[in-house]
Amino acid sequence: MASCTSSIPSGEREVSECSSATGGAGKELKVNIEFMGGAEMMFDNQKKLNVTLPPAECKWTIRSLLAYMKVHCAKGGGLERFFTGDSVTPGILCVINDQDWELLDTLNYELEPNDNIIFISTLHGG
Amino acid sequence: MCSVSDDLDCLSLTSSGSGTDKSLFHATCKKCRSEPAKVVVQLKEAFCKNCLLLYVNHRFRACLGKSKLIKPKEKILVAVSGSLASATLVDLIHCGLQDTTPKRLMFSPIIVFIDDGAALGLSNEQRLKIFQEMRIMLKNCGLSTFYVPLESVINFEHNDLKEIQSETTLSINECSVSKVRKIFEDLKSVTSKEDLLIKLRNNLLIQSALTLNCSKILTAETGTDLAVKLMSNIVIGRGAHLPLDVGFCDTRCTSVLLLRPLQDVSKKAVAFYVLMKGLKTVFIPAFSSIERKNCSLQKLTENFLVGLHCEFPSTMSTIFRTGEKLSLNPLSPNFGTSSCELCQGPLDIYATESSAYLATQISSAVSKYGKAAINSDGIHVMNHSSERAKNRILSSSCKNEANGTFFNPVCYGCQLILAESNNQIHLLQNSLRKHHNQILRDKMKEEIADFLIE
Ligand SMILES: [Zn+2]
Ligand SMILES: [Zn+2]
Repeated sequence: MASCTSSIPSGEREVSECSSATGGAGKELKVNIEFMGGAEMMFDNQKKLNVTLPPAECKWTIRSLLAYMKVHCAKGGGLERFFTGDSVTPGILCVINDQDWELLDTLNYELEPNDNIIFISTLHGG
Repeated sequence: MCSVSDDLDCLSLTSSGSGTDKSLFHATCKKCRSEPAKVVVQLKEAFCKNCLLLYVNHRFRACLGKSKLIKPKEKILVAVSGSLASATLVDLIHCGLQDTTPKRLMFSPIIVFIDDGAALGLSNEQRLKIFQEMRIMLKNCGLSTFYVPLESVINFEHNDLKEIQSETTLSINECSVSKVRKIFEDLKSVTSKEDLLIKLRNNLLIQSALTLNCSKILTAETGTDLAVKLMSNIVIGRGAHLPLDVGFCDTRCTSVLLLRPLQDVSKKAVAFYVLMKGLKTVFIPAFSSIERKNCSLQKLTENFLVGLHCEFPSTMSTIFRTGEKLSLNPLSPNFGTSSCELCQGPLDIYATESSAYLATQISSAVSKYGKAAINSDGIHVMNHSSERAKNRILSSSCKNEANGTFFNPVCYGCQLILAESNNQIHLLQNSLRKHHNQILRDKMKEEIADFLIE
């Protein structure tokens, strides 16, 4: 499977390139996102989000999902409490289909349709 | 070199760069070697669901068992906040009581939830929402559960403790709420607000335990919490009380001990425990929730250590294991015989000559009063080492800094809180003094117990 992640340094650029590309799979990708432990604060206090990702040439990964969330889902200030660089802030855990993302190549994990992704903040005050 | 091995043997000073370690991908469980692994708890230790649940339970039971402090049928207060860790603690106790093996937990727990909405400045609607979520969270645990609002600390009465399941609405004492709100609004820094909140919560927990005839309190502080607390307490001037504040057992109140049975579990393990068991949690914002990322010294320390831990996964356990080796020396000349009126810790202000404490005192006096301070106060403190003389000076300096609100001396960490508050904190004085005197009486009772004729 082709991966577009290693050659592109910035997450945000990657989203624009990915979503502007045509062809490839050419299908939308739906994933379910859940927040716990105060991580929901940066997302309008929504505990659950159903995100439909636009068709992209390359496979969606957690890295490109985070970049997409930064632009399209996050509300208000305090973004740096959730996002750090192209990843989540240390102390925020990511769980993909009930499995620790450290077992799944973390940012490089390639999303599948209907994946359940949970972000849990273990930081004091979310 | 070091007796504690299981966490430290993976002490590596090289960066793990979490996520780059391909050996973990689709690994099988390290423990049972059959099920697919679900979570990495320690460096390169991946567990399946069942083994993680057993691991957390084992760490909790071993910690309590090792201490041999809890006796059968003893009434124990369990402090719950709605966090991931407190949901885990309640579940571990709930399951432990239902155990049919000889390892069954034998004590009788009482859950207490402290609603600190008043300090945080939450609206009544927000507080009601949190209260109802807590009710739902604690409904199925089958344990008796009490609720006490933080504003009760102003004038604690026994009936401030309410059965959570029999209450449908909150009866809010607006007068106390506005007092507590004023006290916290009065403090300039988030650092002091967070610090004071911890002290008042502990105070209220001890009073609740005394009211409910509990001789111990269990808190859900994890090893991660305690490692962060250890470092941030040093930063905020509470180094003298470290063994009490981060050790397994806090003995500052002799009739009610505070124990931390989740000290050998990480926050990550606790988060996965909650997830895998589908437990309910309630998120309650903190002072830092609405502020910028590094708004307090405690938050700054946390962010720094958690970030470091990502790169060097033995950071937290190394700090924690170091903290475990600390102990208070009650005979140290730095401690007086009495305790701090605000936090009940031993007074760390009877400094010996050329101590850091005197240095800060002199430097603050000099910057306030100029050269005159050295000739009168500074030298005075250094030359008169009799406790009475020191006492007089110290109480007068407390008085100055807190506008004459506290008459008994407070410890260095609490002085920093008082120095920031203008005068609202005197609202606490009466209740704190009552509490303080009660603890002193208990201490005295214990000391003379051997001489009493039954
Ligand atoms: Zn296993
Ligand atoms: Zn104190």
